[in-house]
Amino acid sequence: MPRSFLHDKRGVSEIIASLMMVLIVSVAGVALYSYSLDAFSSSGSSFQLQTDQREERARERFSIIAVGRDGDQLNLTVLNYGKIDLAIDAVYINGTMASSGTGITVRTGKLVSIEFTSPVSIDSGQTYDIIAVSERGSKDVVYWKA
Amino acid sequence: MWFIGKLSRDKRGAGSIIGAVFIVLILLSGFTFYTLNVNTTEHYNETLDSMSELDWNRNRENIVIKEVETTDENKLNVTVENESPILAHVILLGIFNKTDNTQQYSSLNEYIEPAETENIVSDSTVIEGKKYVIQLVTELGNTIEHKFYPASEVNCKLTLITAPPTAYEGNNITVLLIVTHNDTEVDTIQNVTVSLEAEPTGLVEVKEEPSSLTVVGLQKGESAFFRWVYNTTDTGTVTFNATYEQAPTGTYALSTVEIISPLGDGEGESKYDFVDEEGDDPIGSHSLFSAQQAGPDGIVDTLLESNTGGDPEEWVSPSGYEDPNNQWSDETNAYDDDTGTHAENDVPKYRWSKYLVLTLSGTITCGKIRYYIDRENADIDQVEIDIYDGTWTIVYIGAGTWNAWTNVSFTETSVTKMRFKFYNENEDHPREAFVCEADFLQSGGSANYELDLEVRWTEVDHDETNEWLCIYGGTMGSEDILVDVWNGTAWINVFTNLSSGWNSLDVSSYLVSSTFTIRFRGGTETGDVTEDKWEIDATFLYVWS
Repeated sequence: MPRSFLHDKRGVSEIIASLMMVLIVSVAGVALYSYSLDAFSSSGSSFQLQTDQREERARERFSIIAVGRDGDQLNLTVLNYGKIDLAIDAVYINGTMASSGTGITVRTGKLVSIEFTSPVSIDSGQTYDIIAVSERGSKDVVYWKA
Repeated sequence: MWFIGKLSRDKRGAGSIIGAVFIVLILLSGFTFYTLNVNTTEHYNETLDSMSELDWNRNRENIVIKEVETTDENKLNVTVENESPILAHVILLGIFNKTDNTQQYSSLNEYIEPAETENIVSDSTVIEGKKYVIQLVTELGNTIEHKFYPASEVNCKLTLITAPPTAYEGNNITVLLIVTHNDTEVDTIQNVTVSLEAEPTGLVEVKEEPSSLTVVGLQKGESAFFRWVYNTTDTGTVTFNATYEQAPTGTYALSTVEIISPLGDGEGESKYDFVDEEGDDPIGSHSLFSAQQAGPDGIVDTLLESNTGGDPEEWVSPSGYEDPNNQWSDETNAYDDDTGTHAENDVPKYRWSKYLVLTLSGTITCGKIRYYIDRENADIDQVEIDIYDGTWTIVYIGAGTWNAWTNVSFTETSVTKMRFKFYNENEDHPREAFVCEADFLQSGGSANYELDLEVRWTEVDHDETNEWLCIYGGTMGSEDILVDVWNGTAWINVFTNLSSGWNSLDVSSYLVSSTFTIRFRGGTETGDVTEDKWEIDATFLYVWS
């Protein structure tokens, strides 16, 4: 006479083992999936950010089209002929950074005048290297004769 | 038991299935992020391509400021040409006042097609006399600058030419001033106003002067020309001094002209004695001998060689005819100098006609004849032409040329006659052949162009210490022209070749009587097949003690 289901203890450990195995696999799978999602997302975001920055810099073009002078007071006229607005971050005269005249935004297709006091003495007839650097790291160099 | 066994079998596969699902999810996530990165990269590359194209076009863009002038309203008129293969878009005009150290930009919206020239007029005005730099800015970021400075800032090259260097009192002096903008930095001079002074003032007076002494907008490398004509009113040395308004210090040009009296007054003074008359037995010709008796004033006597060689070749018509078989009619029409009339012959079918002989009254040297013949129709398909130099020689036989003058050449010989006959190829009918005209070309002798023209002074002052022969040449032929003087017994060569301008020589050793003769001779007098000519403006003796 067969024993009843409730009283039959054979195979119970096997079921529990199977359930535990399923549980372990599920937990491990969720953990691994979460980790991979996080890794992919982090990597992707970093790549996207870098690429966006490089793209913005690639779209940036500007030129110092005129240099005016009143004593040691200089006036740079900067033309933005690129595809994106930009800001002048620093101006260097013969390698020395000017302390003023920075942070000015130049809209695309527009001119701005950047007035500042030259950090080096300006002598008539001498030639000076003037470098303007944008916040994104682009630069333009002119060799200007005072 | 069956259910428990089945369940246990199923649980064994469930872990694998769940694991596989997670792996698939992870792979799908990775692929999604990979796709996103690829899209980002592609977008970045497109941006790079777009900006590279902008840079490429910027490098190719080339517009040039051709000219800058001021308008009547003192606005700038800038002439711009697009020398690049792409459309240029000029967006800004900058005007920098370098005198007052100010600058201003005004917006433009000028599109200039390749090779097109545009005029851009500024909105603002400028003040003449101040230094301006004009700047054009294009949408692609290119700038073009042009320095538009007043004359005071530029050292122009001044060239002052006066002619003649020595003028006779009463004659004219032509003064030519050339102002060349050869400054390397300044592109355009706003305007240049020149001035010319003659020192001392009493020697000359202005006869003609330029319509304007000002040139506006003189471009780099350009020159402006100004011309004056002065009349000399007294003897002496006059110095012309040319400059321009506001010229930098030291910018001027000088030229000096000596004004002399055409004739001296008497003993102890210098005397200019122009040649008096032409000599005998001329070979060659004067165009205007009197031109040698004044000047130099630009009025010249052209000495022209003449041909002393053989006659030139010429066409000679026959003077008679022979019709041995009496077959031809109207024979004289063959040499009546009218191609509309003809001698004619009815040529029998399928055979040659009889000869028509055209004769000369004498013997000529001949190497060519010409004929003008006609026919009834193309059945007359051959013509034979012979010449007679003691024997008959066939010089042409063939299809002939009809209704047109045609030359036939042969070895030159002494000819007295020519004759014609024609062939009719028609087997059934006679056909008419016509001789309209025929000529002999009489050979000429070899040309030889010579010049031997004497000119003479009479009652010349021959006892002065200094006696110079002066000849002012104009345009000279390629052949040398010699001058000989007659010393009483023989011709003595004194010039081996006259040149343009002054040719002067001491002839005191030859000038020993009141009559003095010289002659002009060609440098090549034998075998000269080229006719040369030489211009003589003035010929005189300059004597003084």
